[in-house]
Amino acid sequence: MITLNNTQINCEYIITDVKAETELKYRFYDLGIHKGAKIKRLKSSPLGDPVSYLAKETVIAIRSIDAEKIEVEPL
Amino acid sequence: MNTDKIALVGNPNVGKSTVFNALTGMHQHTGNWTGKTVSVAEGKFSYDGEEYTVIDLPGTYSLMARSAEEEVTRDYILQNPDCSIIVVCDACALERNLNLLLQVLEINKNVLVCVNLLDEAKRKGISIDLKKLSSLLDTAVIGCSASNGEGIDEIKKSIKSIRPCGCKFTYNRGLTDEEKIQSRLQKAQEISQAVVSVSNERKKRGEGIDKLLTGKLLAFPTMIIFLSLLLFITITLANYPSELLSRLFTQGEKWLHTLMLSANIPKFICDFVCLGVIRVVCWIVSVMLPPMAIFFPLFTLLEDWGYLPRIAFNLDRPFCKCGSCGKQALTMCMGIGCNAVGVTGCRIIDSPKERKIAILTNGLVPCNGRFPTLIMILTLFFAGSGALSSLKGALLLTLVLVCAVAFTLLISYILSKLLKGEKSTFILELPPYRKPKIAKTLVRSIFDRTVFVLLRALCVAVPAGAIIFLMSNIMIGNSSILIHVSNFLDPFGRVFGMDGIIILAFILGLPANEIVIPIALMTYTSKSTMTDITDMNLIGEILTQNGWNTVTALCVLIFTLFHSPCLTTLLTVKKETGSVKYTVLSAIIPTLLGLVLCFIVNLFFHII
Repeated sequence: MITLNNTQINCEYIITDVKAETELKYRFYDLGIHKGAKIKRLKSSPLGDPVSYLAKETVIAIRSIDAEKIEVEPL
Repeated sequence: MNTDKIALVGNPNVGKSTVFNALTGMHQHTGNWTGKTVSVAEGKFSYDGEEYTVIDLPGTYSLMARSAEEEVTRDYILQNPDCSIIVVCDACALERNLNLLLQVLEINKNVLVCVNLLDEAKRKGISIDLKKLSSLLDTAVIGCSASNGEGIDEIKKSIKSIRPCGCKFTYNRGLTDEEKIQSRLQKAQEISQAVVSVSNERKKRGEGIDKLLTGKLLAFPTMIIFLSLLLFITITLANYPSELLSRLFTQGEKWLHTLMLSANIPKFICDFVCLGVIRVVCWIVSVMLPPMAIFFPLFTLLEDWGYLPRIAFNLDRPFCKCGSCGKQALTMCMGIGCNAVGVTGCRIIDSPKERKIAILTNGLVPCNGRFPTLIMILTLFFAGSGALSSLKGALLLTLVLVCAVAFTLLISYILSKLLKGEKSTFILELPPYRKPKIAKTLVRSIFDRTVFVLLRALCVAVPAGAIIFLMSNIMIGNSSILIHVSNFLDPFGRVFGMDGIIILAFILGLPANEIVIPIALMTYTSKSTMTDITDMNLIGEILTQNGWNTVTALCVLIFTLFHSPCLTTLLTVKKETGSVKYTVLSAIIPTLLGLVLCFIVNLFFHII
């Protein structure tokens, strides 16, 4: 098991759990980040954080402190 | 006649407003929802003899009422059960959009589904079986590409026949909220998998641009180049319409003055109206309007293109360290155009605490109204003369801007420690790059931003003109009230490296920063009305004759950068926060900062 912030660039993962507090968790759900969904790490911002990910065909930027709460498995 | 109401619902960035504009044309207005800081646009169109009112509800990802946008959208749908709803979906990301659609269907079944951005999806190799989607949802589905008007007529045609959707999507009994959400997400996934097919030869677009705009090496230089270009274009282009307006207004003012005199109105009243009130109002309009009418359309073009979220993405880290988020960089950029617009722009920041920080510190960024003063002081006292002077001036101006940003970060950091509230999360969608619609952009941003600020500025300019005229024309003893007050303020000004006249000019210039230097010059030359001095050398002469040296210039420069934002901005802060406390704070924080810095600089140069 790895968390989203420790993923490899341009690799696809499947989300196994979202361990955030309710509010943040539901925000993730709205953006297509939920258990069973695929996610791909794209690129870091010039200063390293946040990082952009591809989820459900849309690009979403997440800070590493929040990405830590998402557990993924390599696809 | 009671018109049928149609609400537009959809995720942000799906072209909902484009659909709205295509449906209603120019017959629309944007208003604020009572008590909420979310604006909702309303428009009308007629089709086949029926008139419809279209409500463009704020873009939202869900209806769970956790943010102001979601709450407005949800409340509207709940409170208007007989209203028809058009759910606008992004063809490129249908699954996520279906999630919102399913939530809408749980509340209101009179739904028309509009799958937008079909052209973009086609380019990406995504195709959608609209017929199948329609039969799965048992509701009308219309495909369209609103940006080139495709499908808009079909929407209009189908609106009349919107009927309750037969989609049966019910939850098993006794599910928790979490399980309900999961089952809805599941359903959205199922539908999406059934109707969306992606061809393998999809083109990757925007990657090269992305490298330029958010790449490690190029992101910051590109950002600075864009900002400098934006400022350069604004400042150079604005001069021409400014001069034209000013000439027109001067003619009009003279004409009115003669007319009033010939009507036997007492000279003092004629002077008061024409040389006092009207002159100041025209001054502000001619100096303020052109830069804003140039800056904001350009800014909106960047916005429509999709660059602004990327700026927030690039700059989130430093702002995060200072207890804020990358979106504050955007509100600061808007602040360069006009602080009042910047303050309104703070609505894009979700966390209430971070929004307050962004509002309170917006005045630390110099706005269009302050740029001429900054440039004038830099040119006269620091850039020197010679071949390289204009380049030196531009570099110094950049340095001044960097200072403003540095102090914004510092003050944000301090405020984030003082203000209560939780640190927000930063999750931001980076929409695909899109070709902006230039003509529409022009119209929209001029109406939305420029006119808004101008109207408010006029409200404060009229009393300002009256007060300045009365102060400079009513005599007590041998000199005007203006001179008395500036003499009184003089010792205070000296402590901070300035003089009484400058302080007074800043106080009287509170309604609009554009008139600070004209008031100072008027008082120095002991004229009783504001006159336009365009000759830089003459201005320099007047200032040096009145005791300005490098230290004075530096202090005035600092105080121009850091003092209370104009009255228009303060009124906007009051409106946005609804709190007198924050309004006062947003005036006091920059003023104190400016005074302290001036004091230190003055002390430093006096000691050495």
